[in-house]
Amino acid sequence: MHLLTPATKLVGALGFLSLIFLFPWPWTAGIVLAVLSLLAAVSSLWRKFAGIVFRAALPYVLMLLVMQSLFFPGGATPLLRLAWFTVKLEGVMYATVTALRILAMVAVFVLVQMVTHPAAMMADLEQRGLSSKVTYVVVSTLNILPFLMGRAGAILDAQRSRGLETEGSILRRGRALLSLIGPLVVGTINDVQDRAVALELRGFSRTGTRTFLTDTSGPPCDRALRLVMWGLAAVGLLGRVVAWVWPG
Amino acid sequence: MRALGQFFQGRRRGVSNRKREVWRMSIGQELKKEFSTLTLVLMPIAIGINIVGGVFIVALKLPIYLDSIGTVLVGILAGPWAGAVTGLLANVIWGLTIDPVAFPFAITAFFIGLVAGFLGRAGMFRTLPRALLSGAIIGVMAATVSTPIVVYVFGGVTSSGSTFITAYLLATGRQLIQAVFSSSIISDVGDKLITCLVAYLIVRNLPARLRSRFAQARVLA
Repeated sequence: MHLLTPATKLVGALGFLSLIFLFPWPWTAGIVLAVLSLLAAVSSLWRKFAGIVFRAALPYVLMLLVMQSLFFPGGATPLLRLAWFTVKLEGVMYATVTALRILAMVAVFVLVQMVTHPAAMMADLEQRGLSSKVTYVVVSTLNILPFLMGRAGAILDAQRSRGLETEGSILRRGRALLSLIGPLVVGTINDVQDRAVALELRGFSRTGTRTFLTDTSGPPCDRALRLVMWGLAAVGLLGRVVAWVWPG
Repeated sequence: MRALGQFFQGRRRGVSNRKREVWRMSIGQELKKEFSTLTLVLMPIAIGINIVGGVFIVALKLPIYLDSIGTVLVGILAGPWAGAVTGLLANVIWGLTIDPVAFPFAITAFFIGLVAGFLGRAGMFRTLPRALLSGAIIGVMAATVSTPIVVYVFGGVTSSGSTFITAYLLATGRQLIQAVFSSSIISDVGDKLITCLVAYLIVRNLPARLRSRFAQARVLA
């Protein structure tokens, strides 16, 4: 799965998301989740995949189950009573379906992210016509993040060593925030002008065709797979339209 | 661009037809100016600030998100559309690197940047009270745009403490949308107020040399 073009993976994400959210049958999300888990297992990514998915989705799932089971407005069939709360069937159903949808959505994003290198994805998108300005912003951000993190840590330490109060009342901590963000922003913005000049020197805003360094062609089945994914997206959309036109 | 700013104050000054025509003609040029190389270099930094600001929040244990500072800054300094794209890309990148749950809220971030940019153009970040008002406006708008996302994608649950407020409101019999909207208003307005306050202070204290380089910040000087 690592070999497929990033575009195909993105279209796949679109297809699965369309199925999860648009297709009228509520348990589609469960199937999608199962399929994705299978894919992850086949590519020997299961551990990492499951870990990230559950960690990201767990708070939502828990809160959802609690909240909707107990507080679902307008449910009719009570399952059991806890003190003065009534657990209603509709609530639990709603909670499970929504939880599955969240899990499936997170699974889609996590899987795509795990098998796609961001630089390759940006290069592929750019070859297909995405503006180079957008790809610059994304790639540059991903590169700058570790640098900014280090800078933030350094500023935090520096200010603390100068006697900045980072504990205490909310007001004091709020003022501390300003002394931290200020240097960060002004310091990095000072870089901005130099970076802009450097980019211009390398022909950044030149119009016209460009040649690319990275090769993002995929295996032969790539094109066919992409069509299948578009098909999935269409199925989701059509399902929603059909359900809208034909209620009941 | 000046014409657009004047358009907002048109009611006071009485914009002539010729000025309105200038405004309509230069939208394409304005967009190009908004996305100058300088802006494009600012955007990754702003997105980085969005993400890294969270580090400070955690270190200071403050109960806010403060994940839109960069977006608002770009809106003020470079213009509404640049701010909007910054917000969008910030959420996309956040989703790619930190937490996939951030993807659906890219729409909210888009509008935060857009509205911040238009408010900046209208001079709403020139004084402190105006900046706070901008924060309130952006907060309400953010809550409005987020509510459908939270309800239809997440079933009313967010990863912040506002979910408890939602649960309480649900328990008292309100519909989900109302409950989510009410708790969103509370958390978003507070957060955006602080965000706009910090943005205002930062822009205020930017060295004049930098401020004059940005397409829109001149209006603020």
